[in-house]
Amino acid sequence: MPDPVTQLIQLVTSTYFLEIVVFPGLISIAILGAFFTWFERKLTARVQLRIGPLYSSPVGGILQGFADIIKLLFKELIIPEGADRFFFIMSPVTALIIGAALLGLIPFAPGVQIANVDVGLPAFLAIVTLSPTLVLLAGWSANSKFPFIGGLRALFQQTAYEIPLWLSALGVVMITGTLNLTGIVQFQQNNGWLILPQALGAVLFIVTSTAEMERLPFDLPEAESEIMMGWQAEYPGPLFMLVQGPAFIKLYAFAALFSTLYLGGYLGPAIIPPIVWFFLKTIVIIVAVMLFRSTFPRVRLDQLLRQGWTTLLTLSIVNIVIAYLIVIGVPSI
Amino acid sequence: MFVVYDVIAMFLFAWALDLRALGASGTVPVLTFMVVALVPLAYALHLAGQRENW
Repeated sequence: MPDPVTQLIQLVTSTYFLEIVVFPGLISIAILGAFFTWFERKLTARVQLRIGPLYSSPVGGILQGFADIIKLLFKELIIPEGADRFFFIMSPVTALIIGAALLGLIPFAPGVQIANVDVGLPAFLAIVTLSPTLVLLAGWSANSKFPFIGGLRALFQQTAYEIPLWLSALGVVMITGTLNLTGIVQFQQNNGWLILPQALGAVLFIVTSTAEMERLPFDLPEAESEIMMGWQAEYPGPLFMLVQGPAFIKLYAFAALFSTLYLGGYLGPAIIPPIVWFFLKTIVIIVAVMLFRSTFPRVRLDQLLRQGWTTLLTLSIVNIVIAYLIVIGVPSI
Repeated sequence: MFVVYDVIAMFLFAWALDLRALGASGTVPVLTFMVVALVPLAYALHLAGQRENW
């Protein structure tokens, strides 16, 4: 039997460990998170004819995200009076773990996937479904007015987008006949990207996933101009960093899932490695979602509920009919 | 209402997974199921529209 030191060396040099800790796991997520924080601020600034971050490095303030992390880590940890300390701290920590779990399901390239499970697609959506509950828990545990309103908004919002989100992904399952994300990519290798037959489903998916990510125009649980950042209002420096982390990870995970479902995942001409294809597609989706923030005004809660239960749900059913006709064909009368 | 339709969406995944094997004949029960589920939804939305109370 090998000694403990040898066992430890074998563990830290194993592919599985490196995938979880380095890529596509934790370290790469942290670096990408810091980079995309800067990128989003720079992009939004450019759209709004501002300069954006400038001073944190010689190249356009590219180290701003890392500077923000260091600043937040050294701030005082203040827990509001009367807050439920356990849930107040555990909610963002659990949200971070859930976000990281999402990325474990994504096939980044052939063989580069932490967990290749048979039910990858519903597992992804089921894990995501936990987020609004954590937001409510975080808002309630702060023992403060605006965070609690933000938490309630998150739950209301979930009732509007979740069913269309699941139904938009249903079209992909109908056509591919599998719930395995690698299987969905392999189907597209033989039959072409699903963005063409499932164009409506793709639009629905990106709209509903933007609502799930609580990003503009669906950032009602935060809504800084209405409820002062909502459920995040009472979080101090280090915990605020933990709160911001899952927001980026979900954006990254949903963009990666969109690429997998509709854009062929890592597929592309062999002149570029598969993983580069995957990141190119994912970055395009991330930039598109970031541009929503600079382009659309925030919707009201009643507008979101109304459109979710009427327009989005109806279009989801239309999308199912389209997928059915593609698979079975038009029935002869 | 949300819980009911959320669960219905899960059931549809099981049908979608075997759609090719089930073929058109397997669609009739699912179609009936969806009509039965969607008629109350349409009625609920109709009432909500009347109240202008969303």
